[in-house]
Amino acid sequence: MDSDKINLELGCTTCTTQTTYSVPIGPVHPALKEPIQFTFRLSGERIVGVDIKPGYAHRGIEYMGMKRNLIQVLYLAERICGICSISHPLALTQAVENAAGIEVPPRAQYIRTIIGELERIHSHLLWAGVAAHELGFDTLLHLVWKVREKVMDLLEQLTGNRVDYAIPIYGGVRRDIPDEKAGLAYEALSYYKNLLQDMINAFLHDKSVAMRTSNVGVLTYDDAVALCAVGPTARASGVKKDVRQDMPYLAYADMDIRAITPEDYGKPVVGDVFDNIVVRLLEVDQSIKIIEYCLEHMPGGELTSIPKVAALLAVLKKADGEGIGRHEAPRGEVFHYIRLEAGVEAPVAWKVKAPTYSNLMSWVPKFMGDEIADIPIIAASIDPCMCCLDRATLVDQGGGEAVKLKEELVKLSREKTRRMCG
Amino acid sequence: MTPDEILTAFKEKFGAVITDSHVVERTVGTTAPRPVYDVWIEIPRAQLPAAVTYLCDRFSPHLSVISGDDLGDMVAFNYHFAVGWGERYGEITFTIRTRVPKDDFHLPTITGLLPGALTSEREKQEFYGITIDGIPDGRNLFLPEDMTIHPWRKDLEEETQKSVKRIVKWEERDG
Amino acid sequence: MALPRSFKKALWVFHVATGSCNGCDIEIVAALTPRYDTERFGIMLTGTPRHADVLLVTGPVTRPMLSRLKRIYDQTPDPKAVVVVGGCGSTGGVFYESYNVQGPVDEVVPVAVYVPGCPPRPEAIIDGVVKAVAHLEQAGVSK
Repeated sequence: MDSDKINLELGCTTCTTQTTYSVPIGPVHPALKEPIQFTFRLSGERIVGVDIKPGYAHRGIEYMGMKRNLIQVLYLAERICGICSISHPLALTQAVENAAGIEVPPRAQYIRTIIGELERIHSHLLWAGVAAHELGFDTLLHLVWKVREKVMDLLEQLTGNRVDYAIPIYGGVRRDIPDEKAGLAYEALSYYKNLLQDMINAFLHDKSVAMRTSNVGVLTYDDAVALCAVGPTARASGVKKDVRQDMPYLAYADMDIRAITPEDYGKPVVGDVFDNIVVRLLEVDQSIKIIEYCLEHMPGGELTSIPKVAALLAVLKKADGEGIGRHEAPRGEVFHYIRLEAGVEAPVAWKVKAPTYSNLMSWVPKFMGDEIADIPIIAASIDPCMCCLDRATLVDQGGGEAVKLKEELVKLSREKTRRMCG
Repeated sequence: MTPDEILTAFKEKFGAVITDSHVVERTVGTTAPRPVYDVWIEIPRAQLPAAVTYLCDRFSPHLSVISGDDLGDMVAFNYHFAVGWGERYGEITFTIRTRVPKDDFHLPTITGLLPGALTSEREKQEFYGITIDGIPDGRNLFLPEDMTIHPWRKDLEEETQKSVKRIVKWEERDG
Repeated sequence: MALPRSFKKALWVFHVATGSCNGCDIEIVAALTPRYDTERFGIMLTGTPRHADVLLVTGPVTRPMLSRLKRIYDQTPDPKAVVVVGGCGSTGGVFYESYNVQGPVDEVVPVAVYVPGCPPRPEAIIDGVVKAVAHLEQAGVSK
């Protein structure tokens, strides 16, 4: 791939000399630590340059974590992201368990997997709703968010919380999934199984969705590999990266999981926004199957290897070593590196890598050459979050600058849909 | 991909330059346990571009992230790669560690080989105050442009503390 | 001065995320979608603070968002009420002792209603907005 070109665009010096507007930006993408600011360089309607400035939601999580004991760090990790609120604890607990040599009972591994996959269902549905909204299909947004409530209910029944489930703890899980609750899970799963075809019809067989998303925001296979993209963003470009497949962990090690690419839907890989929709919808189906497998094969036994928190803290304080924890979150690979020193309660080193951190760079080739009206859906295509794009600075060719409200961008996007539908 | 395969390849190519190498084997799976591997090697800073070039040419790596670890008078940087992705149980994590003394605090960029490393390199620059030689875009990424603190440096903790706002008044609370 | 009649069926809210983890933010969106459907009460999310009656603020207020939160508050026309959604906006929550956190929200702008929880349920958020109406009315009467 032409790496020079990408570096050049990122280093775009004309963008940095522009005054950026100090205006609050809407909903945050926690994993990336943002509300985010884009600076686009335009030639007419076409995007020829983009500069990305995250950091508006940077809370210094790692800094805070390196001053607290590991149980407190677990709470902190859960609040890195409210949407991936089990992904970070899962990666962190695995990193710490690897570093300290703590075993996890089989039943706990299965429960962690179930909650992780339920999170994937809710996150992908959330994304589908947002994508529909960005295209101007608010009916579909409301429809998808209505059916999403079913999985939120299930999560609440299983964990006691709609968000921030507080399930993993070092060495196991904090709550069981008893048989009577497994029935509720089966019911929710069959609800989604029946619904899936409707979802596929609504998204993939709709003429205007296809028109607005085909060949828009293309990320080629080579770019995806060179830019280290992860998750559905990479898989939509045909890169078969999936931690659950490549380096299995938890209950994923017991199942045959394959990375899903658009080829599984019987279409050639383009790497555009449409392929992103395909991959995410098929992954909902995959998650349903994984949860069913886990419920059917749920092993008995303990929930945690060290049930008493005081004993756990003592073990963690004695631990000495370093560990890596990885989890395939709904958006891609979550990576935690931790180093523990004997006699010190806090981790000596802690690095968190969220999926959007890896996918940040893939925005650049995705935006290049597309129109202003496509900005909302391309920005949403890597699933950064609901609307990181509340305000972007648009730079026209003359070097002047105009601030576009997200509302205006969405309006432009909708007008384009209308235009294309004739 | 097996850990021996990649370690042997690196040892043949770089030989005595590798100051430390070890393989961590972990067992996963409850019904039919299988091993997965974390491979760690340590090389001097000067060899880093050569090592990453070799890795890119031979193994098509995925860079997860670059992590740092403040060891006092030096900082260890861990380049966490994953090689062999794309097939079931095919992947191993491959971490290249290099130690950089604080009195000669700079590292060569690897963005020429792997453009995806830019995010991570910019982050290391602002959080550790290291200079990445040849970085195509050296601006702050997460911190405001006018902020000059390096929060992950333990020796600069006093400086960082000046920016910390005490939300919880521990003295008042605990009497 | 009592509130104008138009407030009763048309309360517009603006959502400001000041570095929150998104947990509260998705619950705010959930409150707007069919299960909870706040639009039947006339509560609607607006895209600009200049149209808003109520500010829903989430997050512990990061350093870059500090001045922006103040500015948004100034841009919102009177009468207005600020509703803090979530534990970290109310007290800082888990985000204490950081170089980039400048909160909690009530040290930056005047707050009418606190909705505790991490994150609060959509029902609680709706309740918070309803309480903000009561607050607006009271503030109107005392003028």
